[in-house]
Amino acid sequence: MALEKEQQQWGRLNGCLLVVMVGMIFYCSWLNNKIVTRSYRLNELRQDEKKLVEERDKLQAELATLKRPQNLARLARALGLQEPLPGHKVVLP
Amino acid sequence: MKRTLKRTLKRTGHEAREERRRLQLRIGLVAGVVVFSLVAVVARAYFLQVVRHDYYLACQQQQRSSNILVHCDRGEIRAADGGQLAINVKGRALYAEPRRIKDGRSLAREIAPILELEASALEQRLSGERGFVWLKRSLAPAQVKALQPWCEKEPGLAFLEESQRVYPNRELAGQVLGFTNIDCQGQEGLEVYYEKFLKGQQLYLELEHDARRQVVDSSEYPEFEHYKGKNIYLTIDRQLQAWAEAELERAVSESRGRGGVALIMNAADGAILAMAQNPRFNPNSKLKNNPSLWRNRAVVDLMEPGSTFKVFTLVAALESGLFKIDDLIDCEEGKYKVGRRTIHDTHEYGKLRLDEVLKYSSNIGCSKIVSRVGAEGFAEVLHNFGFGSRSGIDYPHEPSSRLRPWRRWRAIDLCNLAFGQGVSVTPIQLVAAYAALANGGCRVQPHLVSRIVSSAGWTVYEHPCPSAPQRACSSAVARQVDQALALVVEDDGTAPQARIPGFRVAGKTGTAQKYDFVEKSYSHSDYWASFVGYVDPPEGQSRKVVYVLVDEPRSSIYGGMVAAPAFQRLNRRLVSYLNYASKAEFAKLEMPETEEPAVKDAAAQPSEALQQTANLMPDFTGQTIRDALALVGGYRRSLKISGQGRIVAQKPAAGTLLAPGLDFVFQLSSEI
Repeated sequence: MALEKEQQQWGRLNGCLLVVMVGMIFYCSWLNNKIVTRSYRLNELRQDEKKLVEERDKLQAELATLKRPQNLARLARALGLQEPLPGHKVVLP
Repeated sequence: MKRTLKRTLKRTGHEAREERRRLQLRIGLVAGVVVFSLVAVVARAYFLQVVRHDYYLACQQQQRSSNILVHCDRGEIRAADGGQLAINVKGRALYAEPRRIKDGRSLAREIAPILELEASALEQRLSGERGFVWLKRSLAPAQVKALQPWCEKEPGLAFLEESQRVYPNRELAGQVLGFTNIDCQGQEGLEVYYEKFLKGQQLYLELEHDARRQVVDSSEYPEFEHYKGKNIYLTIDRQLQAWAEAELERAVSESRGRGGVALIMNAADGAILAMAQNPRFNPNSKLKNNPSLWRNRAVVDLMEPGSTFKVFTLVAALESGLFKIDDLIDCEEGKYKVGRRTIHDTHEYGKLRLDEVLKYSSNIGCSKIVSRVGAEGFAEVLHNFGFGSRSGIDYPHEPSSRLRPWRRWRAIDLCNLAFGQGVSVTPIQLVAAYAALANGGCRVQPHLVSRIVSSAGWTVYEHPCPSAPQRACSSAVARQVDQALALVVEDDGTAPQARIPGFRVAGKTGTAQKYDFVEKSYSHSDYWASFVGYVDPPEGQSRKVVYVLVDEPRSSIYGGMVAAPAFQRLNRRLVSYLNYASKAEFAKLEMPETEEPAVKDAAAQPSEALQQTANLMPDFTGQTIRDALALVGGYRRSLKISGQGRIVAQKPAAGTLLAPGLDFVFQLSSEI
């Protein structure tokens, strides 16, 4: 009787261990899968970031070109602006 | 019955034993196979993991990872106001692996028009067993888009990302900045002088791949920003630079000259505020320009200073103690014989005060002064002002000014030197010497870079403040010479055109004959006309030395006629810009109406571009809609625009003859 009880306990323990082991295997697989999926996603985002940085650089270059003193002067003249007349320029202390 | 039972039991016991023995044998056999298998597996594992460990590790690394070389961006060059003068943008280059290309001939025929290359030359590059060959660097966005399908289709064809150096201000300070080569290595100007600071580091990055060669992101991605080159801040002010270039261009075109140089230098600390040159040069299209335009003449070219050098004769006279400023010099009515040679003045002067010798720019007066001062005394003064050596400006290839040893000067050589012949200096050396006078006799080193800042924001270099400046002459002499220079712009001086109402201006004209190396004598037609001087600032501000030089002017040869008006116009802008003027003074100040020099690119100059292309539809692909609108405005057509980004398609096609009433259709896309 006692032997049977002991065998049952061992059986339950083995069953539990098996469930834990299978669970861990599934968890590790899921985790690994997540890591790989996230890595791909991260890589995609890095590529997107690179494209955005490129676009930003190009826009900055364009902005710097448009803000050239000669360009601003040309545009100002085209808009009918003139050099400041006497009294227009006030220097604050 | 009993016997039978016994026999049966005996047989059963025997069979049971037999059965057990057979069972044990089977178990032993299976156990043996299992044990043998396990031993085999362990042995194999040992072989793979221990014996061939290095080999298989290398195989694994080769299959799973790859090293790529990353060139981190070059540092930027910025003006004093923070405006970007040289920046980087990412571009694409096309390369091929010929050994992976099956049909190089047909591929060459297909992509040659996109790359704007000869099909035969391209075919030659695509043939053979080479592992890598460049097809084209610095591709335009439209080319990248057109080549994209080919790269996806052809395994031996791919893009490589590369950094491109861009100069957004185009011609502004083009010669000062210099340029880089296609690999972003400095080649000319500041780009090469500060190469070690500007260049970005090279990093090897290890990437992990999956079975399909897709990159699995590595968490050990470096912060590329930290490996970028350092940013350089110049002393150049973009606005002053633009005005200097505009006024110089006007002076050159009005005098029908060959070119010119204009400089603005802060006399107190040696900061160069503007360094202009004409003709100008756009570093973005360096290869389309004549290489002679790449040279920064303000630093590299030696020229005879002419009469602008006479001021140092006056300094030598006063420093020697042999003369006082009101001493009279007999100018011999315009002719003076030294040995067998005769020195002339442009006008016949009698007796002139020492300061009047400078005011009227008398060659004879200067000759007589140095003859009395002596070669040694004069040479010492010239050396004190930095002549005979380099100015030390942070720019490559600066030559030393040419000044022969004083012991080898003959009497006539000494006289010639007194009025700026027989000596060669660069514009920057002359300006640095004038800056010493403007600074009360203290020399400062001219410089273009004020500070260098790392990508993390740390200042790694800052131009030192002149703590103990070298004295070129006493402050009393500098003051007397300053007063003499102010006479030059009086009504009867040589440069009344340099005067600005409401301000005290001091300066000196220069009209130097060019040496004709063919005739081996001074030319009678080619001159350098120059003016150098400064305007007195309000208290608390330092003087800014302004120099204007026109090479081979034709309308007039005199510095007072050619360069002085440009000096005056530039200074009128400068005094307003630097707040020299009080409200009352500002009321008297009229701004010059010089237009900024025309920009030489099609987008910013539609009328010229339209004239050149007549009635043909231009190619707008790759341009922004803003640039295109600037051009289209001249055609007076209606527009249809779809999408956003840059132009990828257009109607009518480029090169089509434009019929009246035809509308323009632009397809834009941001995926270039």
